[in-house]
Amino acid sequence: MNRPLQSSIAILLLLAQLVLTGCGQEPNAHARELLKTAQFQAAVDFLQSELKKTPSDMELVELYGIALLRNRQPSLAVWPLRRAYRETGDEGTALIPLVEALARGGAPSEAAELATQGLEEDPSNTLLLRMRASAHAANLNQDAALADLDRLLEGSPDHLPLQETRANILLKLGRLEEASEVMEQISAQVKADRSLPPALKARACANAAIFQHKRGEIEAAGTAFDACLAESPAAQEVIYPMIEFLEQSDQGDRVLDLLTEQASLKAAKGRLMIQVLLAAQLRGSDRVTEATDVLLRTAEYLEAPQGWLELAEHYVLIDDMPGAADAVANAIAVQTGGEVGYGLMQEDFEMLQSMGSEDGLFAYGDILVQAKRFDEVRRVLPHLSEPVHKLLIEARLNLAEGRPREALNQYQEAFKLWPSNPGARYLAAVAAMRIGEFDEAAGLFQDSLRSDATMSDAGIVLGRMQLLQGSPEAAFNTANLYLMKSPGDTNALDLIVRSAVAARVSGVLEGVQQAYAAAGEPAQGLAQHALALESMGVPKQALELLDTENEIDSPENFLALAAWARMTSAAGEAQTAIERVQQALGSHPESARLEVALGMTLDLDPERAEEAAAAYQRAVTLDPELVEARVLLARWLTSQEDHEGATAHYDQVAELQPNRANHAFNAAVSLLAAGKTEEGEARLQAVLERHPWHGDTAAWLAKFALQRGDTGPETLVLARLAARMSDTLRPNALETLGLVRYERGEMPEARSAFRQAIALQPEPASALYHLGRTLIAMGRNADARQRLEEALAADEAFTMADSARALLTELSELEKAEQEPIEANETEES
Amino acid sequence: MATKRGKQGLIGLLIAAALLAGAYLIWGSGEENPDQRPTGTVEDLRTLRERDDINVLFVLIDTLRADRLRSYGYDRETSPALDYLALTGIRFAENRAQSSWTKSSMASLWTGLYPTRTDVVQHVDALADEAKMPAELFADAGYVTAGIWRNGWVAPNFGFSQGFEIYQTPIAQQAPADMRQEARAGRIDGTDIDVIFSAMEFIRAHRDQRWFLYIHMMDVHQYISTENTAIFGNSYSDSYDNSILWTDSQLGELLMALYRMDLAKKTVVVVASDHGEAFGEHGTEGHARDLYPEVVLTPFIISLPFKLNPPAVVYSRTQNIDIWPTVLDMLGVSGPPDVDGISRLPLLLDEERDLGPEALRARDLGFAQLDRNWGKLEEPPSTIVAVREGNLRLIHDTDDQAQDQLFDIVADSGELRNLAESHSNDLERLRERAKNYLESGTPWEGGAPEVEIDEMHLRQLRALGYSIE
Repeated sequence: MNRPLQSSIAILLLLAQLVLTGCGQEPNAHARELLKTAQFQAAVDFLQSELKKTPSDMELVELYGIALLRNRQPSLAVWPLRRAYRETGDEGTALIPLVEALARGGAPSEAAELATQGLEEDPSNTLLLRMRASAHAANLNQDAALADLDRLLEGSPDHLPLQETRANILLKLGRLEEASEVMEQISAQVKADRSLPPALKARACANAAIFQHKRGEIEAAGTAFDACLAESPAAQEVIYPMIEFLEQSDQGDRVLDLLTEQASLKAAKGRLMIQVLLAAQLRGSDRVTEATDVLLRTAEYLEAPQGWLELAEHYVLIDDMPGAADAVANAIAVQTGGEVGYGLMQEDFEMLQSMGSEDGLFAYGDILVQAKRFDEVRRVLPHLSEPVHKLLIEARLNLAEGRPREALNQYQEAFKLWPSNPGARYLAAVAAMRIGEFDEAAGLFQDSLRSDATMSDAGIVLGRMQLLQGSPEAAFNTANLYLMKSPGDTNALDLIVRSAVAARVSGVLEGVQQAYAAAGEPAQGLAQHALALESMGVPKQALELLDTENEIDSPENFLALAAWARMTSAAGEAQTAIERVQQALGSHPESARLEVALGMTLDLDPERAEEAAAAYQRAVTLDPELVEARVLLARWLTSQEDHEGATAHYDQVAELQPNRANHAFNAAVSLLAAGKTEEGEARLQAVLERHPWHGDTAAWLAKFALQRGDTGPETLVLARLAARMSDTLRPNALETLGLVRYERGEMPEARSAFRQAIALQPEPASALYHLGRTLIAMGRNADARQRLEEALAADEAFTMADSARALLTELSELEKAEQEPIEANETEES
Repeated sequence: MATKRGKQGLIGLLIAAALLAGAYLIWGSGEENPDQRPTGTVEDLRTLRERDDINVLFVLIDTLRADRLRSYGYDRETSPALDYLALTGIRFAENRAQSSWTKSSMASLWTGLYPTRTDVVQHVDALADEAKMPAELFADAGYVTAGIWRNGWVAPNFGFSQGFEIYQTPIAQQAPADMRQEARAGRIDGTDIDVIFSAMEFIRAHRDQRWFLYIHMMDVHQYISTENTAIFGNSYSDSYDNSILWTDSQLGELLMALYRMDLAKKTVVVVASDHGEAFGEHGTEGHARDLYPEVVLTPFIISLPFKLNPPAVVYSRTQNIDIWPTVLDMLGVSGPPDVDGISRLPLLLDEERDLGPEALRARDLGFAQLDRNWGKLEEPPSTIVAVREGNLRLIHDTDDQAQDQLFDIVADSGELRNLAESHSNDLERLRERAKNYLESGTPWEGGAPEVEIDEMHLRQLRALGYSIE
């Protein structure tokens, strides 16, 4: 903002204006003339300049305030008007504009106070009275507002808006009967007035129903709405408030019926809003296909771009990006009268720009990237006029096409222009992950979380990363922060429990259990609480907790029951445990969940593993969507080396819980075990694509790359990711990292990785051997000898034992040949 | 003068000298410094109370951590205008707010009383009518008083308009075209441009009168910046710095207006903040959740009607409750008796030594307080109290004193190493102080009145990013 320049231009304009409008004119008269001709900004500039010369001219000060007020700057107008009013008092004319400026300019208390003073002088001033009533209402002084309204209504008893305001204030004051009377008067007045158009009558009818809702009379409000609807069957003045009423009064199920009924009316066929609302309801009820049908039929019927764009939005919401891209293409085709297709022409873009503005084109580009229609994205890019839009689409394209470094650079540029973009920060974090900038990625996830925790699962991803990297306190805080913004998110609650277990903080578990209950998952809360206590090594407390729960034998609490059974078995009462679970199952013979509990209990005895598997199988038959049943069955099948069978179950649960990386990972690993290496590896690639933090997946992929002799930068990133964030494969991942580093000639880093692997591995012979090799490469033969000997001592028959022996022989020969003394400070420990 | 003249004092002067060059950037190259205030020394502070032409501009920058200002040692040039004020005035180097939540903190700042005495600790609490507010004292002394605010926690219904002839939340005008904002902060209407423009208009209209103007700026809280001020990077923490630079530039505009209207030589400018902002230093983000240094160490700067040469840097620890006792004392306006805050004027005039060791020890004690359930009426209070005595600071958890944390704020200014286990005697002593503190009651009959908050007001408050149930 260049204020001196602005001022200079204003002064020049002013001078020009003075010349044109008559130089000799008195300033006051000239200002009034400007105001009269609605040249408010010119009046402001002129008066500001005049007041520099004669600041104490109160008439000019008042005019200046009025000019500001009329120039829609009431907050600024307050000050000169206040000054003028103070100086001229009741003799002057500043009172009314000052009250208006105060009321509109953010000081309603003072407006009410001053209006009172004015009304004492002139009680018949209805303008002041109305201003005061509004000011009182804005100050929550409902009694005073009501008194003023009553006075106003004395003069205009049939004034409908005043009557409605009065009824609402009475309602706020809890004077329900009087409020009802007013509403009845309004209804009678509306009915009696035949000249009122149907829409107005429908609105009045709905207002009466809304009023009853506000009074808390839900049933009466429902009846009133039904009556309104009967009277005006397709009136939107009734339908929309009725939907709001139903949603707010926990009658969401009726909304779907209402909308279905409305949508079936002939008149509603072309009413897009009704169809969109119906689709939203269907989507919310997991009836996605029907929702798609509704919108598709509407779009085809309407033959207007907006219908297709609504369909596109629906596809985006259900994560069907190719569908969304097609729908947008249809919108363009309808608008331009052209063919539907992907070959957009120049005029199509222009149309899209004019139809959906720059934002629409940007959204389209984004959809196309997600639909993997990269060529079309490239055609959209030149038409984006906002640099930040272009950068963001280019970045997303680079990320999707495997150029994460370029993507990250573009995101960083884009953040300078658009910092509050949590989605872009999330994607930038993914890009950073892919190039191995894990700390930067964590920072970007953190920023995404800070920017808008509800926009993505950045909080969950970051928390998992922190947990996997051994920072449970940080993970706990992250999950907490995420939970504050997304209350009831069970993923966050799960993470909090895992973090609490890792940090050995049991004090939070009770609160977490309550949070699960508040989220509608009390059974999960109980089970998590008990399992966490068990993991913390206090099964007695866990059992006490479960013993206080009356419903532990109910199907919902199957995990808690299974935990109880496990701990009871561990305490030496296996039979008691089995009997209780069987008894529970006897009460609910068709319960898939209790079958799972039984299976888990039987599984504790290796002799009864087959019986357990049969229980899991029954559970799957009873409830094919019960994730626990399929996972446990898959594990059993794996133990029986039926890897394809296990894969099928893991695939099913991956579909049921797509956000849980482990299901897809397990499916991929089962495929590998089944000998389908190529497919398994491709699946692992897909897992990492979707869950870029998944260290176990990276561990497998790094291993494969290494086996192929690929130790390039991408393999190194995979190996580093695995070493840092692998959950179950960390010791092996560290060894793989060491090998990658070794092959790359990065010996100090390789040595460090092998050392960490040795510390974690129960059988470190292989890692000791590789460390020995690394030390030889570093010229530290004495240390190398020591490590190789340790490797053979750990396991004299390990895979590379012969190589280790050969190396030791070589080292001995070398020592003999060189007879080189070893300096004390050259020990490996140094 | 009682400020440290030792090593720290020298460093302060060196920093000040280094700032000098940067501070003049606010005037633009080649433009003559329009600040035509005469030069004075701390001794001239004695003359202020004899003058009858002094205006007071109180600038409250919401959510401003002291350590993010260049004049407080930050390595980024986030604050040329504020640095200029510090460089030509008085900077209190280690100042703490009484809470990390605006309403509670502001109630203490205005009244000079600790939160346990204002009793403003819950979201429905309001300042009692009996509270004697600086605006009332100024109004009694003949000043025109006005407040311009944008934070719903200091709204009139919470009692914060007492003494202000006009207490305005300016309506939103056009925001800068290149404005950027981080979304997390929530959305409230407008920007601080609205505050600054309204303040300029107030000053223009009352330039020949004696006035007291309070402006409460929110753009740091809202993480707002513009293309020209978004220069420090892209992380969330960088955006915070960007917003400080933006806010500082707006304040610079107002100061320029003061200088150009030739009012600076009769205006005292006081700058403070209600709390800081956390960036994960102790696992939390934002504010109003705990009482660690990142959320309670706030700036306190006084600019005088003359350019102080040399500038004063007060290293004695101060608190926000000291602000008005100090300023009122400077101006010779009688403040209310029995407040917890103390005037730091004797310290500046090197008269504190006359107070005696016991009084001096008492002065080296401070408290902060937060009810972590301030937004949850259904929940019982979950209060934490911070007690600072000498170099030790205790954060006492009234729910579970096993969670108490003790820090050495000199050796560990970030308060990251808990000494509770190794310093059990100190822990007990400060814990006792915390308990005594909580027992000190409000001087007002009935404590803080509770006000009804309607849905509209709740929405406004939630728009600030707070969770209120």
